[in-house]
Amino acid sequence: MAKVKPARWGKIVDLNKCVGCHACSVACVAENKIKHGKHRTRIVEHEEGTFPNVYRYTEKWSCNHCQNAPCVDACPTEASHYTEWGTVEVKPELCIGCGYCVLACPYRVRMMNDRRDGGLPEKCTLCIHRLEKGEKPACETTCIAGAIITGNLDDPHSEINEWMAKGAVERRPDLLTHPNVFIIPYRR
Amino acid sequence: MEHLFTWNYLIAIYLFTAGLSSGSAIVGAIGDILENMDDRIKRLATYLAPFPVMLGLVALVADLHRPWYFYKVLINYHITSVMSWGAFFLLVFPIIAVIFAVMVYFNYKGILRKLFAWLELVLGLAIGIYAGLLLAAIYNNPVWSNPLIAFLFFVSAISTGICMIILGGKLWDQVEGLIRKIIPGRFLPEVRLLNLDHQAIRSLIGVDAVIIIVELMVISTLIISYMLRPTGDVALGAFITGGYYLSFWIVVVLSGLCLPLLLGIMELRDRFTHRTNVIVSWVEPVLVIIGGFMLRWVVVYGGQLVYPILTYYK
Repeated sequence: MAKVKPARWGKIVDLNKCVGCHACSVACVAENKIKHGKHRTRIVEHEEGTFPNVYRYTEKWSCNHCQNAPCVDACPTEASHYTEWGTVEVKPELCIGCGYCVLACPYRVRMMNDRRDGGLPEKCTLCIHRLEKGEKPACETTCIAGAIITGNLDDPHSEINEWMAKGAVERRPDLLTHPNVFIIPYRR
Repeated sequence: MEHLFTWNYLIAIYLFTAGLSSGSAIVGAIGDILENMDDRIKRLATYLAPFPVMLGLVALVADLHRPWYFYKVLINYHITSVMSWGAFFLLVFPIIAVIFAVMVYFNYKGILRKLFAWLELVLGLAIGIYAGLLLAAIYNNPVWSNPLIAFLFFVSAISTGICMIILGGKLWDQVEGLIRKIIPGRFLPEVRLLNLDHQAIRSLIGVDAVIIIVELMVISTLIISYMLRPTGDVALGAFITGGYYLSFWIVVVLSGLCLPLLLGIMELRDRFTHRTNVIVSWVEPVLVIIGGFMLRWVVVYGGQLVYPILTYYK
């Protein structure tokens, strides 16, 4: 397996393809051995429009790996840090488990583990341990609709940049967090 | 939904005890710098300042999900984190406050006394403001990310600190009797009776009444400031029109601010006979302290109650 060099990696979720089957949540739990009741990624259901023109769609919701991350700014011990993959991770040896990053995250994607399970904040790592080996993240490999793509945002010829051209947008751009994870918004 | 509340009542206890220490330290330090305050009030304020925040620090460590790693926050500092600044102030404040209290107790009158009085004033202000700023720095929370929360907590800190001095003035002499049994007599200065008489309590209640009026003004300004924001309905739903609104309006505003203010004004206008003085000297400070604690409780829980609603808002 070819060793992949670190670069600014990102993810795009196409909400037009997402069917809300929760397979990504379950695959993530299985891959990362997450404790019962906790999730790194989950499905959020949106209901929009006014009666009778209403519609609903689902969205995969997980860490956006912001380049200007509120959780990294909030962390008192620099345990939350930027990695060379463009992601945000927690150093277990520095974390005190104060929960400030969980509250500081404007997307509310972090979740505290219980004390008996280590007490670390649980968050998406973009499956760096798989990316290093040249594999895709667990959520992407299991997605039945092909709604998720992970790739190198710096490489102009990568497939993720083709998806970017299809109209991918940041979540909550008003927060100025500049995420590396994008969505293609739902269109009726 | 058990993960909804990341922070629980221990954080409310910490915010409250930090406020008690802050208010008490500011009163004591100002009294020492200006040198025209009642000597008993100054001494009581200085003696009481270090202890509530120590209890708060225990609560803060107990709230951590990895409590045995708490020392790492004292080793690794991160300049952009409000909590990191607070950890530094909370490390330094109890040390300075204990040294200053010892200086005052033994009537030390050297050059360092002025320095420590100023340090106590600055650190008292710092931990008083930090308590609210910790919440105000979370900028996507519609309830917490309001500078008036920090100001409200600070004003409430001074108010509850003064009430702690009133209660301490009623109990200090028994505590000092215990201290004198532990420490040999030749190391101790002459006995100073710090039991506050009614005139001293009356002056403290007068100051407290003014601060309570300021606090009521801050609360009304806070509500208007919520209303003016696009997230106003969500923020008001946390503890003003919904959620914890009963605790807020009844315990905090009615019995924690309005009733003590009424009692204070009646006391200053001499409406109490000598036999009913117990109402102002016990009931008034206890009501303010309960109200101050419930204010922290309501804000800490209310802020987390509304939090996920805004997250799903696009």
